[in-house]
Amino acid sequence: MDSKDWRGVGAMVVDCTVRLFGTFGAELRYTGSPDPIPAADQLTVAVIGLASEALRGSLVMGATPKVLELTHPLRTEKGGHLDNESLRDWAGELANRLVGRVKIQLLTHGITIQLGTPTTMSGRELTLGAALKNPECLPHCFEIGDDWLLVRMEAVAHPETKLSDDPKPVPATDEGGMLIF
Amino acid sequence: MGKKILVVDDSRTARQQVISALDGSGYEVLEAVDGKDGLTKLAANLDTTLVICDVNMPKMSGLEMLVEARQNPAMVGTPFLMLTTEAQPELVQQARQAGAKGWIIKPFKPEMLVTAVKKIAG
Repeated sequence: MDSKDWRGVGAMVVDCTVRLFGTFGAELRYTGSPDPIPAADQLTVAVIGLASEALRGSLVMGATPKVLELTHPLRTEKGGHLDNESLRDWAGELANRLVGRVKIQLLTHGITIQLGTPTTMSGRELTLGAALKNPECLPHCFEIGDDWLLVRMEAVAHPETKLSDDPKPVPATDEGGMLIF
Repeated sequence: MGKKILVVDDSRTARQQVISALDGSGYEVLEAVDGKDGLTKLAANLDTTLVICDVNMPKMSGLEMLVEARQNPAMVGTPFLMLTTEAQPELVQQARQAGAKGWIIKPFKPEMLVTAVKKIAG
């Protein structure tokens, strides 16, 4: 993949992140690719591996607690703060939904990937490492109020992998779509 | 007691979302955390009316659980509704061929899930 394709993948990650959080009523503000990557007192991180002949790597999502609390689907009913286990659980599910959306976008451009299951962690003074194997895969930062979310999809591609210039809708892939057989 | 529905998802939040959506619909909801746990819970509750099942899970995926259930004479008739972020047509086709009754892509609207459940489970 050339730089244009990698920028295309980055744009997919940004678009999917904004749209996903929008479904929970959270309007994220994209602030670009930070250098250095910000640090937070408390951070919850989810990592999901992705693999195929075309592309292999991982998606990393790190968020401050409030971002996760704001979007938690049941919090509005119960109120209050989420405990660490709930924060990790929700971060894993959000990362899963995010990488699922990116997978659909890649499918429309002719690239199929298989997904792993999320690994999550939380802690104080966690920082996401800046060392990238592929410098084309930049971290993307989003803000909501004083809190933030960081997403990085880092991958390496097969030399012949490229994004199709003619995206084709994949049948039965609408989010919220239902098929009864 | 209402009809039993088994919800299989490795995310507690996702299971809670399904339980919340079905609240008040008269179903008794059981939970399992992966496909392996799902098979164990299903074996212990053979009167389950419907399995609502995620696809990507640790230990055993939803599709693997579906295939194993179809090979067990005691579970072969239990309908499965897949509820997942996955939308790859090949996976949808695999589930259909294995006997799943439906496929819903997350995020779901609660009323849509209830409609699908009533259509399949009655």
